[in-house]
Amino acid sequence: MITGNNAKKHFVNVILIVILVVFIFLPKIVTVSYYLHLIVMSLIWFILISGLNVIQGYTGYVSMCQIAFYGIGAYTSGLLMKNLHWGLGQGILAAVGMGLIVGTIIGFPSLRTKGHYFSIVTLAFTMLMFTILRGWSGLTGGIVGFAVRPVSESLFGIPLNTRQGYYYLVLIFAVLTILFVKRMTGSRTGRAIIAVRENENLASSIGVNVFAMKLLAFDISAVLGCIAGALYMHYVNFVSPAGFAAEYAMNTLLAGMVGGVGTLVGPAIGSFIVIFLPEMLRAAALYRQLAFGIVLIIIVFALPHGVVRPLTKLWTWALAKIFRKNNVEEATLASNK
Amino acid sequence: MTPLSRHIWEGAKKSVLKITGMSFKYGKVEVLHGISINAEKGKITSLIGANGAGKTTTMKAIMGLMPISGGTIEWDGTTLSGKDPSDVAKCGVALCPEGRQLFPNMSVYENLLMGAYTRKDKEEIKETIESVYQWFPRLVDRRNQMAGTLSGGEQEMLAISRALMSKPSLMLMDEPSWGLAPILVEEVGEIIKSINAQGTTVLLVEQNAQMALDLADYVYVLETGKIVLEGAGAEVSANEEIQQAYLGV
Repeated sequence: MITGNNAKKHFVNVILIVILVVFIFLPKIVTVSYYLHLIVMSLIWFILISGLNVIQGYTGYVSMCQIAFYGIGAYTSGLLMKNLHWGLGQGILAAVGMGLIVGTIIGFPSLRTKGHYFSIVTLAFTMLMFTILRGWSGLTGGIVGFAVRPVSESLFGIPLNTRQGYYYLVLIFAVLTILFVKRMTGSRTGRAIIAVRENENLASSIGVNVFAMKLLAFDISAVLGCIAGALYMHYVNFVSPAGFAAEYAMNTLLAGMVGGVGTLVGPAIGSFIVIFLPEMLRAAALYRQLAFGIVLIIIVFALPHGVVRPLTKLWTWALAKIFRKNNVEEATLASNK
Repeated sequence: MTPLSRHIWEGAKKSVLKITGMSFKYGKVEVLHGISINAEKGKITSLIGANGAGKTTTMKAIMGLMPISGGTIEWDGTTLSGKDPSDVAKCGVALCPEGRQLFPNMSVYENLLMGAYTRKDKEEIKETIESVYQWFPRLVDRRNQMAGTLSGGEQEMLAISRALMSKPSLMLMDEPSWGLAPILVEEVGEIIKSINAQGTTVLLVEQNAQMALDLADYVYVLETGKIVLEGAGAEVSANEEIQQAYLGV
């Protein structure tokens, strides 16, 4: 049947394709290399925050150790490259495996706690991780960290040791991430994960194994965090513990809150804001951090559900406006999904 | 209150839900003191009592949401006590909890889908949703609306529908009349009858004693954690003390 629903779907798909095309040609549009660098970092953070979003936004457990997973991913692939001369692909795969292992080890005890206790336990893990990265100098290079050689692989003929080439690699991972999260949240398992957030007791009494779902969500967040870390490692080719300290756990939380968790697009918006905003505030010189803080506080106060909330409203309103004629028809004809 | 006719119900032998000497503690305070309840297959069994008598605790304990401190719970020969709620659900038990709990930020349709979580066959689930829609036509118009935005009556209908989605063999209904307008209470009563008529065993907890007594084949009266009276619905209704305490006659 040709209803407003179908036309609407086509329209949305066209817009998504346009956005993707814009991203594909972005390196040609953004000529200032530094901005391309910020975009790459934002995309890496998008993958990181998407992971956080799974446990915080969809499962309702505020995790403070996403930044630790970021670090674990970076160190895993970095050390394997430095010591065993592993390539980029193997490094990322190893980061995935490491994410699963560490996620399960940390998730098992910490997910038995709830609310603030879970946040504190995960924060403690972040601090522990930082101490290990800094203290185990023999392996990690201690406080100074270590450097690795640039990756030698190339993508579609573009060498990945160029900013442009790496941009495309990160873009592919970002698109895969958003597709994965979308697929997951629409699935039976995804609904069960969201049900845990909505009402844990009710979820268990309809047959959801609540603990297994929480652990799964935590593992997914760990894996995405580790992938982001590995991508970061081979982008900057250098790693030190400083970037994974507890204070950056706050930045991941902020990116989630400012963008809006529990949505697909929220983490993307949040990541771009958290990466770009400090650069926009360069004019404030000494007071940059202060200005950054104030702007974020204003955003959080004005939009407690994140920047994504008004945008979604605008989007639905615009769609309704465009397809108003078909709406009545749709309501009467359309059956369930 | 003195127990009146503590006769043995002839159905007790074929009882399917069998709770024996169940006790429950909140911390150190025991709130259920070894209660025994039998619910016969295909019947409606009611549990009435005042606030704080332990009715909801009993329901949660059966579902496995609260670990009991003594006694056993058996359903159809399977021991439920000690099981995780998700495993209890897999034994065909569904709870329609007090205060019409839902997944507020999920649509009506998704709430129904979640109700069928223990079932795998997508086509059959769709069929059940269609039949639930026939029972509750109001949910059809609301299917894409967030459950949290429904009216109280609609939420109760959704909570009942969601519990039905698992095609339960035992339905635990905790205060389905809670906060509903009298006309809706009547409607809910009819629904419970129809659910039972389709072969589902119902254990009904109610503060609305009139409704519980009217519907039930067998009634238990719970008072501060003890069963003080039990008997067939009509018999309990005729009891003077019950009339004074619960029916306001």
